[in-house]
Amino acid sequence: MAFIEIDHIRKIYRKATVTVPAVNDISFDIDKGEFLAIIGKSGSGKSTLLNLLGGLDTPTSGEIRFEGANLFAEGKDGLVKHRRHRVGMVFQSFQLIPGQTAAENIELALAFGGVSRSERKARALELLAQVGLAERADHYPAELSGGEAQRVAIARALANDPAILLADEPTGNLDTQNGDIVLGILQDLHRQGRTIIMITHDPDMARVAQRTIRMQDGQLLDSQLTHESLNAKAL
Amino acid sequence: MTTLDLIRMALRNLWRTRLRSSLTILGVMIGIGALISMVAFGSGMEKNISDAFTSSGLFSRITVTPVKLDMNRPMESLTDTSGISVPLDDELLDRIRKIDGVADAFGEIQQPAKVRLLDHETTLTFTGIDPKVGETKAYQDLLAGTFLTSDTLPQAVISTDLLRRLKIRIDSEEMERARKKDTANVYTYLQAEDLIGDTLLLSTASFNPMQMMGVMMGNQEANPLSERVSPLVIVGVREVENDGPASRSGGDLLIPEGFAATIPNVGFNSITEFLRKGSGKPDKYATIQVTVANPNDLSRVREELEKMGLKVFALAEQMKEIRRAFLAVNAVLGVVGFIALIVAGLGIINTLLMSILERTREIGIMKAIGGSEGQIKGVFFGEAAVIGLVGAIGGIILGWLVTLAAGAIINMKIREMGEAPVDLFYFPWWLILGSIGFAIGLSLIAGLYPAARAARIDPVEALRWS
Repeated sequence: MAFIEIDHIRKIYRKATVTVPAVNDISFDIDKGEFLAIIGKSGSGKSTLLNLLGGLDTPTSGEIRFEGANLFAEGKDGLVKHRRHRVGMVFQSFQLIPGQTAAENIELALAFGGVSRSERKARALELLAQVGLAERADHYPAELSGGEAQRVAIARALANDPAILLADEPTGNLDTQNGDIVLGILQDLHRQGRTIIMITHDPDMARVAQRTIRMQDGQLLDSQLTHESLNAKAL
Repeated sequence: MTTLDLIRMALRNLWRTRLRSSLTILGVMIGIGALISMVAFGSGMEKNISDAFTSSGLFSRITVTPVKLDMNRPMESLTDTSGISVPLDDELLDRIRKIDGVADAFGEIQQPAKVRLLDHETTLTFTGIDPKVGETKAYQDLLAGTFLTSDTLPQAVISTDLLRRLKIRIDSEEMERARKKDTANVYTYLQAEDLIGDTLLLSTASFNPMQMMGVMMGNQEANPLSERVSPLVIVGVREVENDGPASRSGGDLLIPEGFAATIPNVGFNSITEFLRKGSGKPDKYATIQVTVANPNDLSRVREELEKMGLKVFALAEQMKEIRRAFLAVNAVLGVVGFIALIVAGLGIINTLLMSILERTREIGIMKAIGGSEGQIKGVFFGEAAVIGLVGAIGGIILGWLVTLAAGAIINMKIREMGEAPVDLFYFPWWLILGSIGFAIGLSLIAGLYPAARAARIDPVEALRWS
């Protein structure tokens, strides 16, 4: 049994008379501790797939099983627990709450995770130190550079010590230097044993992953792309 | 996430949009201020009347009269003497005193008269009373001097209400101000103590049946009515500014019962007694005041008295009607304040909906990092509750300040009219706590729809929101 099993998952959006199959009958497995990159053009369905893996969205049909248990079987409560404890999410546009400092953004995730008030501050500082931003704890998102904001977002995603990190274009809004720093952090987290699933449209970024899969029009084109084959295929 | 977390978050979010939050809170403050100042006005009026009754012991008093005092009774029926067979005399007084639960009973002789003091004159009904009643609660209101000390000496205890009618002013605080305004020198100004030992002239009319016969026989010089002037020494001044309806009849001038019995009168105390003359024993007393030891015994004692064939009247029972009337007044005043609060509630809904619109992305983030629908609702409920709580506390302060200012202005006018100032507004504890609870409750109800809407937001859509 694989760590994550994606089984004939389908997500169809219906707007008036138009039906859009964002994810159309995809099946593949992800191993525990794997660093997986999902590549594809804009509109290929990769973000929808990540949202389904993150429990932010529910499929039209099919199952996603984590250690054999269907993610969607327990309804909304099950999805909240999943988002709170099993996965951490990182977004292209950082998604930090503007009215809260770097530390407070992390503390909010800890509060949702049920961590006591007294422990939150220390844990937030510890996580910020882990991404090299201990001195920026009291800074608001507007006072941080893009790279720093994304590192805070990674620290927040790690708040409740999830086994899986889902990253949606984590370097999309960053320059090369900051992009490399973020990728370095993701590689470190992978080395520590976390399962990383990263979405990118850039094959170069995908090279840091152990395995890359490619999506197009909501379907899986390749599920076992190697570094060599990435070089050979034009995206 | 704890309640404290929600409150902190609510305060922070409200601070971020402080102008809008302040205006919403101001709306709640005005609503609560209007509600409590209006209800405080109704409660103040009720309390003033209730306190006057309590302090004068009227809640534990039953008045026995020759004719039942019924405000709804047509005037012509007052002459209906059927069923009146028990004369109000000492024998009856003894029987009443023996009833279980009766603390004391005393008779009052009453007679219309004219009084003259320091060149001022007025008419009144004086009361001849047992000097022992001075020990009861109803007469513990002496401003100067003592209560009646003898049953037979020509003594008088007068009320400040009588002095006011005599155009004699004794209120030392207001005296100077009033004196300046009294350019026509209508009033006499002095201290209550100055009146002790002064002589008050009491003029009464007496009826001579023989002279009446003379008139009927055509004697031009016959005069059935003659005037007698009795000088009385003032021994005490009672503070009876807002004389209640029950003590209006005779409380202005109290004289010893024994001396009162020596003053000739027109021959009857009331029209009833006049009509009954010759058909039975006369009433010695105009009324008999019965005091019960415990106000809870009032109804039982009243029933006992009625069984004895007596006409009785207890103001305490009328108080139930008065309370009911005040309840209606308070309800009407409360409705006006409630409408203001409803408007404030709509303001809260508007503010929260605006806030949701602005923070849609934030709601999406909260869901993405593990926030449940309940917690999202809690965040917005927290904001609604803080608006309600701050608005209620501010509203109470605002209402209190408004009543303070209104009270000061109204009392200034009352003082100018020569009357004693009154506490027009009363804030009972239930009004303070109730309005806080009500404001929070209303705010939470107002927050129901926005909170539910926030909780239902699709996180995927919300994260794309810009």
